[in-house]
Amino acid sequence: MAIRLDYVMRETGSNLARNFTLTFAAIITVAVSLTMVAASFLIGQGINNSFLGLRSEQRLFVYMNPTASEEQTEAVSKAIDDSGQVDTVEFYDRDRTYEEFQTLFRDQPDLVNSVNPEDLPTSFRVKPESTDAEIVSSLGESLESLEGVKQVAYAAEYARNVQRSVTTLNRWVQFTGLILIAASVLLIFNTIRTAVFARRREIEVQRLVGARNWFIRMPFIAEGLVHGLLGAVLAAGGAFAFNTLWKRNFVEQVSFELLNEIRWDTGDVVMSVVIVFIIGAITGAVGSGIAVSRFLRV
Amino acid sequence: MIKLENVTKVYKGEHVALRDASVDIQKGEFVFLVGPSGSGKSTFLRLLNREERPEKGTIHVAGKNIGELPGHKVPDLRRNVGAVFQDFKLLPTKNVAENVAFALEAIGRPKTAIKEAVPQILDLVGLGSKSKNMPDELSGGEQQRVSIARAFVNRPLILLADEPTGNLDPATSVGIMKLLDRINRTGTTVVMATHDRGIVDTMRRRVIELDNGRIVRDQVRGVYE
Repeated sequence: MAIRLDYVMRETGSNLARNFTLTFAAIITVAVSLTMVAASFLIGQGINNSFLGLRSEQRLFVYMNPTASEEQTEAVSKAIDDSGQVDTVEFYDRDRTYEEFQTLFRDQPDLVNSVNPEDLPTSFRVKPESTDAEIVSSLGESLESLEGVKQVAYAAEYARNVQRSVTTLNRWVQFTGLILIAASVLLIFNTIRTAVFARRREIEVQRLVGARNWFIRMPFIAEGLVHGLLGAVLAAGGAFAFNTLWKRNFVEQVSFELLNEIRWDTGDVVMSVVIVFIIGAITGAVGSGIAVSRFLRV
Repeated sequence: MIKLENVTKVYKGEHVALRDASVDIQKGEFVFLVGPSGSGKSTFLRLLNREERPEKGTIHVAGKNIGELPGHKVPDLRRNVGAVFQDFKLLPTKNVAENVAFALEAIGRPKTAIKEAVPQILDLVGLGSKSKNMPDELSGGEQQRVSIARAFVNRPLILLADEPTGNLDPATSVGIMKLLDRINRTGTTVVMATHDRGIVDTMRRRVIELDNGRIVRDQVRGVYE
């Protein structure tokens, strides 16, 4: 027996219209929760994209005191070579450091103009053989104790801190999204229950004349799917809006150092929309499915 | 057509609605179920279209043991067993023709077949001219005619009627009984629960009397008591 599409559409449509307030609430809740899912997916992709390089890179920046003598610099260089744990090492003298400084802050000419090469510390850029954090930090500590060394900075550390905060933030977004999805399921469940109740006369007649189970259930399942999918349509808009806002406020702002490293491409946005539609459909189907199996026992 | 063997139905573990009932109803029979309220008439009918299942005994309808019928086969049974009620159970938001069409739609009949069948059955029950009226624009007798049309449009083998004249005045009731008699003459088995002494005594059909869930009388061409 063919599914009567016009029947399902008519009945579903009248259910949706009859139950407008609940329908509206269900769709909005689905939309908000799915937007959070999309945002969390994009941030997660961004974290993966931006820190992949930094994860494998364990570099040490050994900054010398501006007042350090040449002997002290020599001694540090020797200590680095003798440690036996170093893969490569580069020395940045004042001119090279200034060059780098100019590049980094090319957007802020005032700052560049106010700094002279002599003001900048020389440094060794050390790449250890091991990527083990403990070995790297013990090497760093031993170098930091040498005369003339101002500070040893770990390139990955700051990045990791940012990554950790963003990941924590993302966990909360995910967590809230999941709770809202659960709320969506409950809301759809209740909306469908109300629709079943509103149509109890029709259902009674259908059962009496011998309608099949799936025939009676179809409009209600379809209604739940409409909730989920309309919510997903709004959430897709939400995902694009989030994408735009993030780019405008973080990626294109130099002042958010590292946070602007968290970026994703169009493929990720498309993927987030796909995910939103899949989860939306599942949410609608589960919510209405539970309601129908509980309140439409034939 | 309908065969009950030692059927017992107990509600909620206490109230016995039907006790050890055995009945054999042939195809084309017209049977009245009589007895006081709560004697088990409605339960008897509800057992025949699997609205209820018996605790003990077997029920055969149209050759099938319906106690053993799996859930997904119940719709097939109900397509062969029409039902009419005291309160009509019409859909107030649909007009007469739509109410009848709704039943055919529910069992997946194609649109063209529905368009053909609905006016036919409405003519049969004498409502051909009121197909566009809403239920609340009809008299009680007319509403019951719509409900009979809905139950019979699919030409079921059996028609169950639970006090179909319970809400109607005597003159209107006669009209409804004439209609049910006409349907019975097409070969449809009719089982009707009723309190209406006048109807039973006039029609002189088979009478099964129930009292407190027991069959106390089963009489061919019987009277109310």
